[in-house]
Amino acid sequence: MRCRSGTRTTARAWTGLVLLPGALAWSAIVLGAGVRSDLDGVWNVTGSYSPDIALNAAGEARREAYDFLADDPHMQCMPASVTRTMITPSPLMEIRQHDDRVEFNHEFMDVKRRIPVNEQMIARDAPIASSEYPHLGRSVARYEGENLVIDSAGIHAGVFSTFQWVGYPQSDRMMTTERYIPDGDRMQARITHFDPVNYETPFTIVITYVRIDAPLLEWGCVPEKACVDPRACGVDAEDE
Amino acid sequence: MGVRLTIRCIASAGALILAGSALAHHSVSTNYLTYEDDPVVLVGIITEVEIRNPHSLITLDVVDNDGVTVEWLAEWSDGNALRRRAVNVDLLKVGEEVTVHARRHRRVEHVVFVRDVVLSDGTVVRDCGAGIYRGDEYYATCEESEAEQGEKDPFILVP
Repeated sequence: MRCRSGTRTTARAWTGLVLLPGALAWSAIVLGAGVRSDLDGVWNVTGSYSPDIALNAAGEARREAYDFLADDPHMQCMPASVTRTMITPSPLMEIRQHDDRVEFNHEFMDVKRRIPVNEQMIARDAPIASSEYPHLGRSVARYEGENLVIDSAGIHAGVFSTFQWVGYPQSDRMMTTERYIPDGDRMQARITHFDPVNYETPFTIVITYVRIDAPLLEWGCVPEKACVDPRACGVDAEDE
Repeated sequence: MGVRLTIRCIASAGALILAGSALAHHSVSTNYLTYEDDPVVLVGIITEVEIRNPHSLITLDVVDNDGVTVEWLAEWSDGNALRRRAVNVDLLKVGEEVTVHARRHRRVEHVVFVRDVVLSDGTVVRDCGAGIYRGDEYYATCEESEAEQGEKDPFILVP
């Protein structure tokens, strides 16, 4: 679904954001507490897409200023965001569900997230999900039907992606809702991004996965070797 | 890893959209021209091979048309992917003369992204890319994928 740009659409979209907590509480009442579905295992990306993403003027200016050689956090072994971590096609992702928490182990940058399952907690009160990468924010999980839903806040400003949507910015007001929809050995993850600082409307990135039988390998990124050539990462050779 | 899984597809309409979107915005494409647009063929001596993450690296000494030896840096897929896809990187030996087909960096001279490496005996070392994981079928290795699908450009994501 494509959201049209313009004041009315924008106002409606962000009004929806304000109403979101209430809507979530209502859906929790209607749907009940939800059922823990079988998401355990190792998953491989099979694809990702998004409807058009509508940057506002400030967001467009930030994207224009982004230099993919100089500004890519990847080259310092830093995952730009949870979305960036999840859309990379080759590194695997492992999910382990427990009664009180969900664990995500990613090959990419060795990202590990530990997320409490708590229907009462809101994201900004949740613990930091990744102790190694606190800039990924605070997260809390719940179940809606068979879907696992994770809300995140406290995300640091930067770019949400250096892959596919290269240089698209995120502010420290960015909040996300990840929805994991199981279907046997296939899964769809829908990550909705709410960032009124940079975007006209919320937008959703859809990522599809297949469950595979393969071990997770260590990533072991070393900053000194993350960049192929200092010239190719925007570092002036004279500074070397 | 030797098992090929055939799994039914969900949201087939969405899957068709996926391939185009991913192809259009691949991060390798951000940094490198396509091979079809500007093919680079390097004949040189391997001086270093580093299979690592986030990207592997082959360093080559290449003698240019003026007889000057120039160092070229050939970026490649992440080490985990190369190992998982059973690409035989151990065949790449320091000191061996090889022919590298590669994609040219958009901004930086003497930096390329590997398409394949041809050894002096004609053996081709090639990564078939993340495309082997696309679609209804999952192939654990490049060998399985190419046996079933034939050789494909490593950056074309099979829907």
